[in-house]
Amino acid sequence: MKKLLFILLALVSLTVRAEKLTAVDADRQNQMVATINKAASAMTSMQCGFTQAKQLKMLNDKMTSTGTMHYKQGNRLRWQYTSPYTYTFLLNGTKVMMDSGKKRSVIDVKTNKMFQEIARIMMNSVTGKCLTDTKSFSVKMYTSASGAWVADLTPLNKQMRQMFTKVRLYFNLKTQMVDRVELHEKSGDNTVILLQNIKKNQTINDSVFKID
Amino acid sequence: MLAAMTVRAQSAFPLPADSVVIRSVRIDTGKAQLTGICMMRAEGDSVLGSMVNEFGIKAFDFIADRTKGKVRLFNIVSFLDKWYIRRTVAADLAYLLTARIGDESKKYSLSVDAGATTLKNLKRHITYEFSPLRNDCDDSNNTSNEIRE
Repeated sequence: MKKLLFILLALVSLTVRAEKLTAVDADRQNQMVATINKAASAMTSMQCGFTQAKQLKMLNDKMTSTGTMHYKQGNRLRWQYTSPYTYTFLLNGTKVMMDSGKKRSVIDVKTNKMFQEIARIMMNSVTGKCLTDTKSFSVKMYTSASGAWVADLTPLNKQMRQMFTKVRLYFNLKTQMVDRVELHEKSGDNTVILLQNIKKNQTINDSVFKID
Repeated sequence: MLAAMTVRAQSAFPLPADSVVIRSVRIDTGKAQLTGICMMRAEGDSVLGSMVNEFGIKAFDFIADRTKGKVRLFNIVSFLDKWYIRRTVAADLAYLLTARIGDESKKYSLSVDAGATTLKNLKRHITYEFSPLRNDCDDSNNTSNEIRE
């Protein structure tokens, strides 16, 4: 009986981990992208908590960190880790502030092409606008067995390709918003970010994005 | 005298066997400062490790052989993948992981203060600081967030 239970549990776990994705045809992909884009354009703000799990192949171990994210139209994004370490990435217009507690730096993205790219990709990934960012990614859309829409983004940019082989975004059908991001690396490591308690179009005080 | 010999044999950067140790890292080269997270595990005479930034983006992996005092870096992020950076970082990590309490070196200074280990490469003016994370870290194989493939 115990053996049977174990086999059943293993099968259930396998089903969850290896969720089948079905590729959609070009017409369907265009429809899906248009729907997500429309939802992204209608979004003025977004806030949520997140859990980030970094799987390290080398150590066969996982590091989990948590934090909060705030986004507001007008190129404003606050991505803040609160546990097990504190780190804040704050984008406001053309300025980026990074604060690790030990080091705080402010960069003008206009003068730093790499940060300009990072800021653009972070912002577009959160909103889902990256599906139309044909300069940075080639996109393939899927539907998952659980009903989510899934976008596989293959980086086209050389710098991005050196970091990630694939970025996978899961869209919640109800909200038409990203609720899961997977970053797959060449080394076999991957990072899974789950966005939780997502609140859309609620007032966020401008002070959240203030860079001194 | 025996007690002194025991202390002499202690590693300056002890790592418990077969468990993952996570440290917050700051590297100061004088011109630039980098911060990130280092995860390490001692396996016999080897230490396996990964250095990532706070977003989880990898800087490099390493394997240290503590008996030979050698460190090999791989999966290095492109902007760090220069021979002189590889050579310096590998040598500095090798010293950190093999130094014993009481060791003296003309090239390095190593100190431990409030749980933070600071290694200074005196020749290249590079400071490495490894300090405990602010909170306790979940370094177990957490299964609450399934990874879908």
